[in-house]
Amino acid sequence: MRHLLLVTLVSSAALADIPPSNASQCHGSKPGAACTTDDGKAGTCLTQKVGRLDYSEGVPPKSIEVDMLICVASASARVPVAPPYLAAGGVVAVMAILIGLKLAGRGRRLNPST
Amino acid sequence: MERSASPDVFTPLDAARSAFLRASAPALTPFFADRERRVLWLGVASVLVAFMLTGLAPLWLLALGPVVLGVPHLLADVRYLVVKPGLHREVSLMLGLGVPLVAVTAGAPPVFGVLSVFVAVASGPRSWRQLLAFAGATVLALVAWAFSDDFRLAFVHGHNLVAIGLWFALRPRPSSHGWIPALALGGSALILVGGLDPVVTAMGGWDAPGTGSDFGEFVATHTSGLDPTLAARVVLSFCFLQSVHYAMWLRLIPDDARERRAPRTFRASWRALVQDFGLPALAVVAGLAVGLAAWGAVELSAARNGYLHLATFHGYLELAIAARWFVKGRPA
Repeated sequence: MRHLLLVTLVSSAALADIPPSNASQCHGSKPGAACTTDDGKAGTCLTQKVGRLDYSEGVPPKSIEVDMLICVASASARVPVAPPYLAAGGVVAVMAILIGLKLAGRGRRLNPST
Repeated sequence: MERSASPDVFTPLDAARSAFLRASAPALTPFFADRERRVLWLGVASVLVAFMLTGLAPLWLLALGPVVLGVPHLLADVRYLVVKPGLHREVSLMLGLGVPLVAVTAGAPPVFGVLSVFVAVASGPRSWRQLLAFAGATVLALVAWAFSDDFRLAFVHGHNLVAIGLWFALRPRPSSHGWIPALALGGSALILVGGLDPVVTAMGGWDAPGTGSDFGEFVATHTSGLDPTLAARVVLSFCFLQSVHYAMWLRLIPDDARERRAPRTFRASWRALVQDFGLPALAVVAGLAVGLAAWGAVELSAARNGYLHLATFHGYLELAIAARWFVKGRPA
């Protein structure tokens, strides 16, 4: 029942041309892949029917229904897993530290009195 | 000055450029030797090429642009906004900017990114400009807090224009350089009223299955609540301005920001880059760029999305530094 409600909500949102919830985390994944829902629950990427605008023949577009992978929360899942964008933040943090260390070292060489 | 071995790849590149410049002299010499003219024609050409490519193959431009040019442009962001002006020596400023920027990249709501603007504004001297900037940042933060999703969308589009503003404010420049932002804004306006629709249709640009994405997907992720036709044009405008944004960071800002007015050799450019960042950091950046390109060769759409997560910080960095320039004046 909860899944049915989710699919209905997702479909209506997509028809209204709003990005479907729980879709971005399954982008590029395969059906059955593990994912994290928008509210941080562990889930699985499942193929769902969603409404889309088809621009392949130009504007105005046609309305079509397509299969899309949506992250559906697993009933047994209780432990949230780290969302993938945390990795992006981690990369930026590591980059900042590396560049900062390099630049701080250079700053000391340029200003030996400080 | 830090010494670094330059890869031999620069010898043939510099030789080829010298040969071209000798062959084209004296007719084209002023267009390369004089910075004002060089920046003008490079800027105009960049905008026109971006417009043309947007009409020819927008989906390919949207898919490949971030994967190929994204990481180098992030490096340029940090180089010209932080390293060159010496902001990295202001530890408290770096911490103040870094924490919200890392947070927003890690998935925090956009209002966290706007916090970096407050930090940048606070670092300037007390003045009416600072008060004005605080007021602007407060309005921005309230909007970001109350309308998080809409703000995120507007920011994705608006940050492309911030780069144009930063470039234009970088130094005093002849009025002829005003043609570059005028062309960019004019091109965007033309796209929004449908001027490019027939070209995209004639070139079959609305569909590009090889990119792993489609226009509907970009409309869904880059617009909200718009008429479907206008939404497609907003995506086309984004595609165009994103390309102009890359041209700003990778071509015009580097040309305008260096002291030397004449073009320098590829070898000299490499040495300057190594001096600014050091080889270890550049190796990490190069690894990211190559990794992203390799990912893109396998899953182009996924690689683009991965890059977009990584790049979240840079728009807020640009906005924060723009606010600092407004309060404190541009760097000398």
